[in-house]
Amino acid sequence: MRLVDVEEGKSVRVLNIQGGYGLRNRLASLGIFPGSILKVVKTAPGPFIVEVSGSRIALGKGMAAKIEVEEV
Amino acid sequence: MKKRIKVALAGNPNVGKTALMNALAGTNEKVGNWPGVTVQKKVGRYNFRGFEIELIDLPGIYSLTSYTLEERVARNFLLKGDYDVVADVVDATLLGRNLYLTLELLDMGIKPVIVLNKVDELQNYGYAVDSKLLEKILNLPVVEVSAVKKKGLEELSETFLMVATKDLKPEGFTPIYSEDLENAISLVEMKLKEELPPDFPYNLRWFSIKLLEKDPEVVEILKREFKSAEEILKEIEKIESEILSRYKCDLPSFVARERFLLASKLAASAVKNSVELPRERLSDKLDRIITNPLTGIPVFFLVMWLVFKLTFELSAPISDWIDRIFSSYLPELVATHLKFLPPALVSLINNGILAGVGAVMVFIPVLGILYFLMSVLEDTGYMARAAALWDNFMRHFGLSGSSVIPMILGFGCNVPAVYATRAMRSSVQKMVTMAIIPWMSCSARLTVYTVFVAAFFKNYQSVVIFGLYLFGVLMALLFAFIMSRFVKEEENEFFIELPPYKLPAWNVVFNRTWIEVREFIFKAGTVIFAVSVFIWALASLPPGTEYAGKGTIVGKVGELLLPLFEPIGIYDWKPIVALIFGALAKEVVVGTLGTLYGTGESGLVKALHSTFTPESALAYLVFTLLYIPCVATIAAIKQESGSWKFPLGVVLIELLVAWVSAFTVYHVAKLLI
Repeated sequence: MRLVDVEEGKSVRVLNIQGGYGLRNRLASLGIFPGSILKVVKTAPGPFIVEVSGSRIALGKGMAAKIEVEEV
Repeated sequence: MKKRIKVALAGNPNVGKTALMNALAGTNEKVGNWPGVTVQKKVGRYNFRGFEIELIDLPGIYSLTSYTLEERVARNFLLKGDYDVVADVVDATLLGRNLYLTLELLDMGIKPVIVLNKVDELQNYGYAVDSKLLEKILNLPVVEVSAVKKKGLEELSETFLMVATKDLKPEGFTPIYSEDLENAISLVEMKLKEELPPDFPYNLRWFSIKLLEKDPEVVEILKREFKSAEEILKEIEKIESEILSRYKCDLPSFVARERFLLASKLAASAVKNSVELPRERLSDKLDRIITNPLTGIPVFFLVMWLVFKLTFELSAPISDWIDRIFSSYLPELVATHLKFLPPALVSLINNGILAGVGAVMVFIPVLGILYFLMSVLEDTGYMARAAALWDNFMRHFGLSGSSVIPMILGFGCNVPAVYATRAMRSSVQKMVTMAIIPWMSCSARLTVYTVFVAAFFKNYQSVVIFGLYLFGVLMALLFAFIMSRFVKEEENEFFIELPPYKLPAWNVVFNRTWIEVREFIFKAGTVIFAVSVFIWALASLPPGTEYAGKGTIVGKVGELLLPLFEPIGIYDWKPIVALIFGALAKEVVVGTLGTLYGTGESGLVKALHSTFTPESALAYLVFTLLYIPCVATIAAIKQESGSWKFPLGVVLIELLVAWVSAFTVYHVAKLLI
């Protein structure tokens, strides 16, 4: 399952992130890395918003499509 | 002489570095660019106990990789070591995430002073940080401050002093990660030691960790300095495949994750009552409304409309007043009281110097108010949401959400719009956005449209004016689209942190506005002034000619350029001279035409009919819309891009595009009308 397919309000665990090392490294410094738990605050239309370790991160549609997750 | 202490301020975005700078140094601040790049550099100074403390604000960053320009700038500064103290500003309400950067600093071998900001906010949530415990864990000095409420500043300055004079030597804690990662680090360290150059300037452990993170710059250094580089890289590949099979995670992410987990663990042990922070349901609800296009776009336009309304309603009387002083009151005073001076000198004072100073001064109210409102939007947290809202749309044109606000501001005045690109992260997008801002039709151009539309398109006034605005936007987006085919950015997926909503810190906003206006006066103002005097000289020489008349240099240039304008239906040199003067400020076009036709602005409509046909009038308007940015905008672009090459390139391209567009419009209109 990708982050774009998750329903609003659900919590998910990140399995994998597609993309270069730069992208993954920067996401990891915000707390988004394989194994971390995200709470999906908002889904499409518009940007995705996730809560991760206390902060809110808005992700573009393309970004959210590259994050593989599973529900927890 | 006072001894100077250099303090580098590092920290994540939104941690309150700007507020801290404001609390310590007030408005005693210089704004510039980091050498060779478009990243803003702020340096503040203040005196403390006979020392001069210089604060160097590093770009706001989450980590110290070499993937983004900001991170590279910060990292290279830290590696160079041209400072006495590093202060790591940490947001107490997001301690775990903020300590990630702290661990990166420690990995580098830097022992920062931890500036624990927003402690009072954390207390409002009902939590507290044990800063003494944190001090013990990190083995670094930790100072609690509230930058907004100006608390803890004395102790902070004292700590800077003690570290700089070596009265206090922070030991620093060495981050120890999991066994798997530690084994990998020691393996790489061992390999490196086998042929370590004698004066290897980097911390070995940091260098090894960055190799495991596959940091492009560090890999480059490895390839340059080590003969066995390939062998070491192969070894790292082997480590990665092991990590991959065990953790299902690539090596760079694994390292980052380890660091994040350690940072969270440290934070959890220092925060009392360490439960998750309360979920602010109200702010989540608000986010859902303002970042959903259906509701968010109306909200966005409402906010922008309010910003414009406030800016122009409040600034118009002041700008008019300033304009009156510099364009009629003072010149009349000069003309009546300085009669004994030669006429050329009076003309220099009136048409050169006063016009030049006036051209700078009239921008100040608009710029000040717009800048003030923009900092309020930024400070309240709205700006990040607006960027998120527009991202999907702007992506089609190779831009991102953060280009939208500068573009919209451009409709008011291009100058603050150019300054607003500072908030943009990607430097390529920032350059493209600066290049297209001049095509956002600013309010000054409206005066030109109004006169021509009244003269030639009486029945279609609003259609023509709206069409011009739309044409500018379309050209801008088209240009951005074409540019995006040429310059590719590797990683352009969008994500942005949404800072919590809050009331703006008024003293910070006021001081920032003043600093920016002051920078404008001294940096852009001097350019505007110089160009004004230069154009005055062209319009007055050779001596004895009528100001801006046919015999002057501008008049001759106008005639010289005539063959270029004939294909777009203009057969008179006067409108061309008006365009040259329009480079000062677009609204000058109308005034110049009035002077040249000897009619003043009121009788202009009649005079225009003798020079223009509706088709050539339309072409002239399109040309006015697209041709060069005004001097103030050029000066702003120069200030922001840090070089003359870029604004001059923009001017050339825009002249060319303006001509081609005017030519096309003229001939298409001739076919249709």
